Amino acid sequence: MTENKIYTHKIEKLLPSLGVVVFFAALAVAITGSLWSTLIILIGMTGLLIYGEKHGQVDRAYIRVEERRSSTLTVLIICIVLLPFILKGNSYFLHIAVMAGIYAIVALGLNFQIGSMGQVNFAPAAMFGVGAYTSAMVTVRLGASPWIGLIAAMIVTAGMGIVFGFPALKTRGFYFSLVTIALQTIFILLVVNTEWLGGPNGIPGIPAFSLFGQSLKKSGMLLGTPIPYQMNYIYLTFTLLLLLIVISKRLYSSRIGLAWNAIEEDEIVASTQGINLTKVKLLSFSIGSVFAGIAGSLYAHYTSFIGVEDFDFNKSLIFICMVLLGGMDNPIGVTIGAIMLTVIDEKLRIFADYRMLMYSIILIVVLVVRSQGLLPKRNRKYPLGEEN
Amino acid sequence: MDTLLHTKNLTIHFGGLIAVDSVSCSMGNEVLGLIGPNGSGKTTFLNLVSGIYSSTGGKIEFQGQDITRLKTHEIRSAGIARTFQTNRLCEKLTVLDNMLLGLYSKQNTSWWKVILSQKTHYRELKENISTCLEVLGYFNKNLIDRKYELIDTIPLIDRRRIEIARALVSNPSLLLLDEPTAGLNQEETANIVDDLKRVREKTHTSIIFIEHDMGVISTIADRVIVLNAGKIIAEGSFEEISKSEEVRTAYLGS
Repeated sequence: MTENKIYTHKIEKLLPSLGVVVFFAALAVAITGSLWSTLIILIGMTGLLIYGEKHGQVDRAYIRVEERRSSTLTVLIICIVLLPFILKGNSYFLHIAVMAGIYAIVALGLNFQIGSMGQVNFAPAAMFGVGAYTSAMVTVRLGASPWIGLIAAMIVTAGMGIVFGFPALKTRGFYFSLVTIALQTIFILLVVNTEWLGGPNGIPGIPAFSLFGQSLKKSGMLLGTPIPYQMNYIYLTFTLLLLLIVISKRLYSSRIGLAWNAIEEDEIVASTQGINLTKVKLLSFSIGSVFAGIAGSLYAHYTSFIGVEDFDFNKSLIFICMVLLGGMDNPIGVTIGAIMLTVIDEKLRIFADYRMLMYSIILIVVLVVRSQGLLPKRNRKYPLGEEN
Repeated sequence: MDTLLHTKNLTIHFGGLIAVDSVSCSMGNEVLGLIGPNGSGKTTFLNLVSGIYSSTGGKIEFQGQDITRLKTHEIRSAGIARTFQTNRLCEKLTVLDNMLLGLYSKQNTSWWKVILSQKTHYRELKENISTCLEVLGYFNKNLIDRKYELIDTIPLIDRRRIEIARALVSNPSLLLLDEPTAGLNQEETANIVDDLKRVREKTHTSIIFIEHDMGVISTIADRVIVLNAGKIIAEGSFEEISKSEEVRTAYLGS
């Protein structure tokens, strides 16, 4: 009896790390496998979460991860380091992983508005585009280093976030969404009709990031096998993604996250609690936009060519779907949602013209079965002050 | 008596309707009951004081400071907290989160500090949580155990208590209560009155409250102001105003 208990206890300790490993294994299977394997993984994940929620296992999983945070994080980092090798060093598979990481960053930023504040922003792709174009212009036209481009993208998108957030101060709900749709359209029209921004032809020849004098676009050799250059970008993207998840989580657990939630429910009550609506709302838009800007810059310097069709309204809808599918107001959920949808999107290429149709059907089915998204918001539990 | 709140010719129009019509009054550290028939401008008066509406004329002074044009959140930081007639707690948040919202104006950790380090933020959070639980326990000890439960599982009377506690947690100088006993039965009303008495004894916070239950008014109000059609028609102790002919007419019709 006691032996059995100790045994389960040991297993429990390993569970968070095991979960991370299983997730990465599933991800690798989803990326390298066929459409069916991806779908089976999505169904399995949904089923597991529904079952877990019913039996209180999801809450326990959160507690377990919290208890064993450092070991889980270590395993997570090891998995990311190994990811290119799990993906067999195939450049197409690696490309999917990089794009999943980049899109996850945009979705994380969008989550500050949709998830936390309940304000549906239809212009995340425009913000992603502002980041990409800023970074591209700074490097191509001014010849600056891509790292300067990244910083410029962050600064410009932070400012644009305030511009985009401004209507949110005056309008609410549907009206706000309408304004963001207009902003998205304005962005596209502006880029297409401005010669200086490349117009409909896009901007080619964007330089790649370089680190210690080494371009990240250079394929490496490891243990005698050639590794495609996408590996470098996987490391760069996922490092940034991890960092931004940590930032998101910190904001969510702070009073700022609480203020965002309060604004979602009742603005008047929020303001009578001493919340400066203007400041807190603009903060949500600025930070969200900076996230999109970072992703845009990564995208520009990764693909080395950007065109306006990469940032159109459909992209915006896909980003919104990522947040909805992943689970609102939960950075981990949103990341998982973004990664899953990016992979599914790639796998659906076999349907050619019917791709968006299949995509929509999958979304509808998942959201009917689990309307709150895969990993929805949790009630805040504070690990402190328990003695009371 | 030091003046805590002073209004001078406070007026607000909604289109052609004058909801509050040049109300001039002042209060010190006391419990002030605000009564009047429906539509007499009681809630509008509280909305003006708490900054939800901005007045079309007149002046509000709080602790000698002109707060007429301050924004709602600035007024809360200045020390005026309020509750609402219908329960307006954040239903998707837990009891503790609702309480922490009440402390928002007292927290100083800015967003970039939160991002850079969790230590200062945690220290502040820990202090805040113990303050919240202390105030909560003051109303109902059971609520401390239910701190992680969502608001919609909490009975109505406890929601009322949480709302008052949320207003009280930041230690305001003036508490505005909009019908704290609305929708409660007699026993529950007695409980809330009891709570308010204890709060007053312990914190000496000044209170303005709107009430229709004359029993409640006579028990806790030091002074009563009667509003009718946006104007003050009587002012004084409960005994004084209950003798006033004008008040009877306003309530019962001629």
